[in-house]
Amino acid sequence: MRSLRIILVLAGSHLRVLSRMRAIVAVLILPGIVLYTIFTLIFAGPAGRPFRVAVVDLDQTPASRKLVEMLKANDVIVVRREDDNPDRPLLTVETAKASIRRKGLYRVAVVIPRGYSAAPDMLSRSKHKGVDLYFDETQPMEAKIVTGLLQMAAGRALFERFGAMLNLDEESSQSQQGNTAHEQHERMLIKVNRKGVSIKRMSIAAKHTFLAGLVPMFILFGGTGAARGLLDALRDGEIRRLLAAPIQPYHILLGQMASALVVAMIQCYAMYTYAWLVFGVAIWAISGGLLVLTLATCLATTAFGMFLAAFCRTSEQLDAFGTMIILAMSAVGGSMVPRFVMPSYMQPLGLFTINGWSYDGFIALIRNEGFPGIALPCLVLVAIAAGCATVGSIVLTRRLRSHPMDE
Amino acid sequence: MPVLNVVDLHKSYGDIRAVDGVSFSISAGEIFGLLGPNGAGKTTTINIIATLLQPDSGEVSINGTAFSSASAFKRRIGYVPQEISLSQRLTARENLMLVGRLYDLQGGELRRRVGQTIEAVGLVDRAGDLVSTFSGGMQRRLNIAGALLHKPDLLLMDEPTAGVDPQARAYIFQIVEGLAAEGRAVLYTTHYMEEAQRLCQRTAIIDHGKILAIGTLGELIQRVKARREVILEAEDLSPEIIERLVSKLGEVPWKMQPVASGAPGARLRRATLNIADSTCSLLQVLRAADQTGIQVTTISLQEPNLETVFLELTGRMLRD
Repeated sequence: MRSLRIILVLAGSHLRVLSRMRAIVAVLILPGIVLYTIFTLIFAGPAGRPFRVAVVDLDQTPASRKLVEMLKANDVIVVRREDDNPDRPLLTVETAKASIRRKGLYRVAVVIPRGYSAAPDMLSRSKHKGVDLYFDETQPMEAKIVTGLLQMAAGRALFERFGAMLNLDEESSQSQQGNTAHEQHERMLIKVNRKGVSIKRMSIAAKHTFLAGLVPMFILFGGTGAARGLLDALRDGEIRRLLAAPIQPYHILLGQMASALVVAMIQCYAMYTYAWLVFGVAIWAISGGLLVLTLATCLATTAFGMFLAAFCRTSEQLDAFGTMIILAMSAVGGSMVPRFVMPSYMQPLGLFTINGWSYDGFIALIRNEGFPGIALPCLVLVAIAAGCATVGSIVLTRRLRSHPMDE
Repeated sequence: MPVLNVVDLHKSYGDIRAVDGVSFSISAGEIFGLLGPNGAGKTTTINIIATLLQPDSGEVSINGTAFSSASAFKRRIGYVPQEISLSQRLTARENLMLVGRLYDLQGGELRRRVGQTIEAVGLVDRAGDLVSTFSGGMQRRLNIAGALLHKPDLLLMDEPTAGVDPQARAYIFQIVEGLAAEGRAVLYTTHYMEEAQRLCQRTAIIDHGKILAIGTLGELIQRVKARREVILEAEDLSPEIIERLVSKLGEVPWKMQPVASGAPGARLRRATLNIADSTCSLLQVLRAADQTGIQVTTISLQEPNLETVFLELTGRMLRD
C-alpha cells in the first residue's frame, strides 16, 4: 500500500510539472491531430489501391483458371487461401463469406461454380450460369468495380479464344465496365450473380485506419518523452534526493511510468474526440472496448519508452535512437500506410510492433467484433508492456543503484 | 556514542580508488568538515553514507542503525546534494510537500513541518513561487530545506554553498550553525578552506580518497607544525636583502614574489616569511627590516590555517 501511495505521489508530481509546460502539452497532442487530419483528407476519396478479391474455383478447368488469370491481369490481388496464408486451406464458399463478414481482408469473393467451363460466357445463352459474387453490403461500390473487372477478364478470355472472329478488341471490352448494373446481365459477357453479405458494422474508412495508425505512433513518441524526463532527472541530479529518501528505485520508475500512462491516455482521447467531432468517427459506439484497447496500448508504449531509456546513456541518445525505432515501427505497423495495402510479405512484420497490434485491435472494434476481437491484440500489448517494463526496470534500477551520477 | 560512525570505507572505479580506507565519526551537535580539492573523494564518501552508492567494503552506522537496513537508515539522514535537486516547475511549498510525502509525512503534520522548514530557511514570502524564479542562493536554501523536513539525526551537506554569493553563503552558514545548535550532526563537504574553518568543529583533510588528517583546527596546525606567516611588501626587495633580513631573525623559510602595482615603473615586491611562534614578533621583524634598510610599504601577520595545513600535508594548494 505504501508503495502504491509513493508511486502515485511521484506520478502526481510529474503530472503537475507537465501541466505547467504548456508548449509540451501542445506538442504532445497537436502534431497527432494535424497529421491525422492531413492523412484522412488525402485518403478520404476513392483512392486507388489494389483490390483483394477472394476466388473460390469450384470448376477447376482451364476455362475457370483462365478467368482467374485474366482477373489478375487487371491488377487484382487474388486470394485463394484462408487468411491469404499459403499454409492455410483453400477457401470455400463458407470460409470466404465468413472472412468478408469478420476479417475484412477482402470485401468481395468470386465463386466459379462447377460446370462453368461448359458455358463460360453469355454467348452460350441460357446454358451460361455465370459466376457468384459475394460482397460486403457496406461497400457495394467494390462489388460493382469487381463486376466490371470480371467483364474485362471474360472479354480478354473470349478475345483469346475467338479473337478476330468476334471482332472484339480491348477497348470494347473495357467499355463495358460502366454497364455493371445488377439487372443488365443480357449486355454482359459473363453473368455475375451478386450476393450481398450482411454485415452489422461500420465501414472502414481512411478516418478509421489513420486514427488506428497514428494514435500508437504519437503515444510512442510521448512514452519516449516521459522516459527522457527520467534521464534528464538523472543527469541534473534531481533524482538523487529521491534515491536518498526511504523509497526504492522501482518506485521512481513506476511513478514516471504512471504519469506517462496518464499523459498517453489523454493524448489518445484527445485524438479520439477530435476524430469524433471533425470526422464523425463513432467512438462512443465502441467506448468499452476502446478504453480497454487504449489502456493496453498506452501500457505498451509507456513501458517501451522506459525500455529504450534503459539502454541510452543520455536523453540525446534516446531522442535519436527512439525516433529511428518509432518511425520504423510506425512504418511497418501501419501507422503511416495501412497494412492492408502493403505487400503480403510485409504485412506479418506489423505484428512485431506495438502499432500493428493496436491497429488491428482498433479495426476489430470498428468491425464490431467487440471484446473477442480485441482480446488477442490486448493480450499481446499487455505482454509487450510487461516484458519492456521488466527489462527496463531491471536495467534502470541497476543503473540508479550503481552510478547515480558522474562525480 | 557518535551519531555517525564510518569505518574503513573503500570504493573503487576500476583502477581508481575513489575512497580508500576512510574512517571517522561525528557526534550530535557537531559540524564535521570533509575538506579536499575536487576529485578528492568527498562526494563519493557522502554518497556512500547517503546510500546512493554501494561501498566495496567498510561499515557505516547512524545511532547504531546499520547500513544494511536501508529504509530505517535513510530516515535518519537528511541529504543535501551538490546540485539543486528540486523541480524547477514546482513551487517551493510543492517541492517540500513532495519530499515530505516520500518520508511518509501526511496531512496537518506535513503542512506544519513544511511551514516550519520554509520559515527556517527564510523563504516564507516566496513559498508559493516556482523554484525557477528563485535566485541561486534561494534555491540553495530550499535545497537544504528538503533535507530537514523529516528531522534527521544526521545532515549530509555536499558543498551546499557552491556558486552562491557571500550574502547567501552567510545565510546558509547561519542555517547550518542553527541545525548543529539543535543537536544535529552535520557532515559538511567543501573545497573552501574558509568555510571549513568558519563552520566546522573538526575537519578531515581528504585527498586521493584518503583522509590525511582529522582534528580541530588547532590540532591540525599542531600536527603539521604549521607556522605563522609574515607578509612584507616593499620596493626594491631582492633575495640578498631578504637573506640579510632573515639572518637577523634566525633561520626562517621565506619566499618572494612580485606584486602588481598601478604606478608605472614601480618595483614593489612581496616576501613571505614563515615564522615559528617562538621565533619573533611582528615588531622584531619591523626592527630588523629597518636595520636592513628595507622601506616597508605594508606588513601583515597571517595565522596558520587549513590551507597551510593542506599545503604541508600534500605539497599542493587546495585549489591547485
